[in-house]
Amino acid sequence: MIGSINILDILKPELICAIVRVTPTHYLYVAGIVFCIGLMGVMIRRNAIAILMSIELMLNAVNIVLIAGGRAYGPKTYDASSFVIFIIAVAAAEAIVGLALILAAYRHMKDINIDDMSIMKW
Amino acid sequence: MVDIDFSLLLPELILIGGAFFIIALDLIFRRRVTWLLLPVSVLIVAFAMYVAIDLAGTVASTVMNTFVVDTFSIVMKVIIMLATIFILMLTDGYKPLGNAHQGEFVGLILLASSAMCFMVSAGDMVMLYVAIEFTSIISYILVGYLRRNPLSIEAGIKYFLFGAVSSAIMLFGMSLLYVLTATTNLGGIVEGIMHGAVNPKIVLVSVSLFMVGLAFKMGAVPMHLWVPDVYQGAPTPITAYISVASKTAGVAAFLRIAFWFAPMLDVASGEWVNILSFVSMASMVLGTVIGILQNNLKRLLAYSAISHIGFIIIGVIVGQEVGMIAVVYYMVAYLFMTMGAFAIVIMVADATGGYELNDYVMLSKRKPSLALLMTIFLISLAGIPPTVGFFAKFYVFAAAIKQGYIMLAIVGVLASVVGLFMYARVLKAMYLDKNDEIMKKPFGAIPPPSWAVVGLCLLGTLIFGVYPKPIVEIARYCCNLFGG
Repeated sequence: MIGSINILDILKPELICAIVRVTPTHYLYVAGIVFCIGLMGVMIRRNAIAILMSIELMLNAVNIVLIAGGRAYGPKTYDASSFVIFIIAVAAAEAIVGLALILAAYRHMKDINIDDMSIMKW
Repeated sequence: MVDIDFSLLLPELILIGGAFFIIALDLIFRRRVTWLLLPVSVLIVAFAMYVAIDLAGTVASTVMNTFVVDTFSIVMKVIIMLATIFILMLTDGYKPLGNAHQGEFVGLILLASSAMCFMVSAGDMVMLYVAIEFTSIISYILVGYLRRNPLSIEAGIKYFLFGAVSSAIMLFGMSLLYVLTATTNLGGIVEGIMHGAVNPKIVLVSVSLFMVGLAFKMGAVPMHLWVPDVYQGAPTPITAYISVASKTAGVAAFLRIAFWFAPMLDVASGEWVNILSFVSMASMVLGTVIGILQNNLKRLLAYSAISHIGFIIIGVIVGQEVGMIAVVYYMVAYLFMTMGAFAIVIMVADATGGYELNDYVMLSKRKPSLALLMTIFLISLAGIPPTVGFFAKFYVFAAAIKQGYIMLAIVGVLASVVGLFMYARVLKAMYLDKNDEIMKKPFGAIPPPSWAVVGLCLLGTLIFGVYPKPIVEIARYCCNLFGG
């Protein structure tokens, strides 16, 4: 307590919004960063499961963009929200098939390092 | 409430229903009726094809403009379903598959073909994304189907990782286009960009990201790395299926979007043509040059497919009526010659057990008919008259020269000359190379359905090679009744 001001007041949402105006553009920045982190993960990780996680990160970046856009354009269309639900559903199906393939590969080589999957070259 | 005109969706619904019917048939009779599955599934696809042809002439869209039916989409669907029928007939003689899980295998092929038909007709980003993923996910399963074979599993994983990443990149482009225009409808996007004050650079970036997903489906150059490995590792009928049907669907979706987006990209920037020209030239050159080095027939045909995609993209760049006729003609030619070549690769592999160039040595002595047929399909792929491949390349180059894309035509002609060498290596192995050891090996019997496929492909290759007019007329009809 400093005088009559409560130090915890700065955590109140009204005050935060007054200091930083969060616009849809900020969401695009966040989404761009998350997308790039995912892409980097895909390129530098060698574990197949980690690559799968990075791909999920990329898809979530897309979801952030769509939700931010849909919210900015107001409730007149549900295009963005329905698109996001489709993306989530398809991503789940894709992850299942991917994990099944990774499991099948693990049975063969006792390892899921994708650098070892190089029987075929050029 | 959404109005759905089910008569327009009927071919796809028949294929989906048929797929579940086949799987149920297999399960109910506990795998005792495997001999019945292939004939029944061929009949289902033929019926769906008949229903699709019946829709020809309509230009309509349904389900909130997400599903577009026009003559172009119907011609592409017929190509996809013909490819499906050929594949089902070839599966009959394919030994590595055995009798295990035949019902699921056939059912998945039918589901994949319905997904490709949705892709051809997509008029909305959501529909396009779901159709592409539907096709891809089923293709991953089919490519990795031989799970005791390390090559098949490796191909499946490579295909999956490339596909998942490129579809995520495509989605990012789609989400940017949504943010720019507040709609997911492809027609609405063009209007939004044309009427709004949007920075052309952002439009170019979003559309390029968008096209990454389609370039993956087509196997065009920056996204071509999966092609040879998947072709080599997958069960060979599935290789042929991905090569013909999946690429036809990718090209059709690509052409539709390129044609619809053309006004918006012209306004935005002329850079778009440069990007596509690079993709086209790089595909042609890389496909032919690296193809020369291959010793495995499946990989050789994979690089040949990459170079063919380069030629097809020339037609998309040219645009307008001539470009569209060239692309439609090329897809028809591609169906016959690629399917024929793969059918013979399957026959030879079943009889001798290998896909290497060495397995083709002295084929002209061991099985002269197969060697002659392979020669016809290969000279068609190389683009030599009197085959359908010659007219396919001829229309593409004529269209490019007519619209002033001289550079593309020059690179294309040079690439086809180099490509000739790639195919000549197979001819040399079949006719000129000598190996006395291989003559002693027995040459297995060939199942009749495979002969039927090769016969039909041969008819298509030769008849349309001397008389191309019917296909050109159909293609012109496609252009006049193009939706959007």
